[in-house]
Amino acid sequence: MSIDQARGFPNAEKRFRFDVPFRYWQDPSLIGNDGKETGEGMDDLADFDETDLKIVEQLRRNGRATHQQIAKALDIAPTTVSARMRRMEESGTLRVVAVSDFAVHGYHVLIYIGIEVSGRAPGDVAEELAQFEEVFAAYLVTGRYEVSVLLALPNVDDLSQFVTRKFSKVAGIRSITQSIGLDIIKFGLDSVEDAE
Amino acid sequence: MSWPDLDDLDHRIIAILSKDARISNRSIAADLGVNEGTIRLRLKRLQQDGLIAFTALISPKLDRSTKTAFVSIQADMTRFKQIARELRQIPTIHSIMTTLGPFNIMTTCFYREIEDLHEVTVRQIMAVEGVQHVETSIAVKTVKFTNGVVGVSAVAKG
Repeated sequence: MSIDQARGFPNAEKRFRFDVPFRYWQDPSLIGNDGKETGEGMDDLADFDETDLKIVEQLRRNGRATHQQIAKALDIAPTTVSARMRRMEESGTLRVVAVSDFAVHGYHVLIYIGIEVSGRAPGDVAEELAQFEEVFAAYLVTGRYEVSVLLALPNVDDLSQFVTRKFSKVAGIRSITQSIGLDIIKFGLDSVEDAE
Repeated sequence: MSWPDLDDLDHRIIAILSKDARISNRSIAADLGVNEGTIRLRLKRLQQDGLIAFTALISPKLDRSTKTAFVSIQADMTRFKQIARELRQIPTIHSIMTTLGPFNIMTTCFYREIEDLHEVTVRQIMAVEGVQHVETSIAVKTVKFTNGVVGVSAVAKG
């Protein structure tokens, strides 16, 4: 039984391939030379079986688990693991990567900013903000704001320069509401089960 | 958030593994001209300090239905950090940060159908004692997202 089923979602097994939704990477390889999306999504899904999904789940928990470790956990042959992984990686459906903490990159201040836009298309405001390296993520959102942005800065002293030199130059911002990050309590690495 | 003491070698190891975490210690060592044992020790320390983690990302081709929503929470100020920790168990909540602002807990949820989001907010988040008010905002378009840089230490600290 999947987590979704356990939570009482109807038809969970039909809709959900993974127990927990995934963070994807934004993959330039999905865009072909002609600028159009490559591949047929449904065909790729059809090529994926339960064994593939189980291997991916193991790799989500530990991306550097050996073929032998994965094989043992799933009670399958190590050669099956390596063949499946190679196929998934070569077809561009799987990437196993190291993710690093904000602190590794010298970012120690995280601020969420909700932006009310007026007199300009919210998409244009978001696109312009996205050009700044300090803007880690930018979304068009529903609700009281039009644009939501995650800002990462080396330290608080950098905030003044960012606001005066960059942020305040962007047209169409009617108001901002900031939330200063105190502690990151969870950041989807699927390790919740052993967090306690 | 602490200030990690990382040298050039640490950064170069991280850069290599950020592209492909399956590369062997031996191959990294050969690339950087150091001993395999050095790579092993560095990786062990980086993981123990909660600075890096290894995980799998799948292509959106596989599952186009995942959507993002922000659920902002006003929780009892006297114990909001504890409340934020309780929310960790909810699988659809991808990230949680305690904040100083109009809300004291901000979360990112991944969901597939709108009723799943309702389930998470109404039945799961609002059911936690001390949660006073919840506001949901749906990301209709992701304009920018920086891959690979995350709050690893949140996981390591537990």
